[in-house]
Amino acid sequence: MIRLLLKILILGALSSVFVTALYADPGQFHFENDLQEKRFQSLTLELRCPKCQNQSLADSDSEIAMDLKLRVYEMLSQGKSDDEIRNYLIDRYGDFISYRPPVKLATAALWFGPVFIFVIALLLAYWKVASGSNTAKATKANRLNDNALSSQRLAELRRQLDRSQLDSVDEPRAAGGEALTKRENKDV
Amino acid sequence: MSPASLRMKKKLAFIIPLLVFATVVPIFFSALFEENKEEIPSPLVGKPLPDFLLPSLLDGQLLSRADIVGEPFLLNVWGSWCPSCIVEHPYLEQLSHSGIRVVGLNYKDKPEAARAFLEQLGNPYHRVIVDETGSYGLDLGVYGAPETYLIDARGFIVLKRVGVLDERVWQQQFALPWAKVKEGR
Repeated sequence: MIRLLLKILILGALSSVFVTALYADPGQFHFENDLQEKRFQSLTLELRCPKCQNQSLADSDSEIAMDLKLRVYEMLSQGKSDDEIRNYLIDRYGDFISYRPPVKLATAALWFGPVFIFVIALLLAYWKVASGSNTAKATKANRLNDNALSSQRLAELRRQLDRSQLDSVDEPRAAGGEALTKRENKDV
Repeated sequence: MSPASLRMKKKLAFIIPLLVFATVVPIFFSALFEENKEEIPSPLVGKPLPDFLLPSLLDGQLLSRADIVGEPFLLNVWGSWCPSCIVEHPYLEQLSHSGIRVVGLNYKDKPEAARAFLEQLGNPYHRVIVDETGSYGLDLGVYGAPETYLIDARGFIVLKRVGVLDERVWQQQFALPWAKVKEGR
């Protein structure tokens, strides 16, 4: 049962990869060589369709995406570099068109926000662990104190007991002594 | 752990989520009523209108940037295929009647269809530029229709609006800048 489920999951994942690959298929364009085709594919994957906000140009069949793909293709054929093509589109559609926004003040939160949050999380985790181990130390110290106390008390009780035995063999006291001895045993 | 710091912790466990909630609510609330979610800021605002050499819809004469720049105007991107452009049309007529110069950019349309559209609904445009392939639209960063640009007397883009232009949008976004470019400021 679980195996079947796994198989279905894997098939599903594979098919989605396959479908994306199909979408990115630049069937209508004819490339001079493999390199040009690769550049086309990577460019259209990193450029965003302005109309269909969460798709790359490669993923989208919308009219504007087709036009932009055609323009990318034309510029590649004219021998323009990847940067020239990227900048050409950014000049017209803004940073929005790129899935790789440049580092500047307006995009600082985008670039450094996650790092910032991670650092804070690390600090919090450190603080938490540190205070945790402090508590652990404190508990241990307390336990040692308890032990010290009880051995002190033990010695004291012993002395009392000895004294009482020395004084006289007196029923109630002996009973008390016995009770104490029991407790001592429990403590130790 | 001492009872005081425990109490402190309990307080924080209450206050921190509350603070997070209190910051998130206004953000989502304003996003909920955000009027134009699809609008992306244009890098062309504040820059000169790109040059072009394209035919005019009604007389076929070739037009360039110099033919339309000189006094402030609205550049309206439209197509007969675009339903929102039909919605917008009467308001453009109204603007045109009130003496505002509107230049049309017929975007990715068949010239015959565009002419039929104007014959049927009226022509609010001072001039209509034909961009059949959408290549000038690409230079402008057009990604849909209608779009409306406010161009000042020097031919600089002052404002861009994506979507239908109506009375409310005019009052909210265009009225003040238009008054300014009219005064030549």
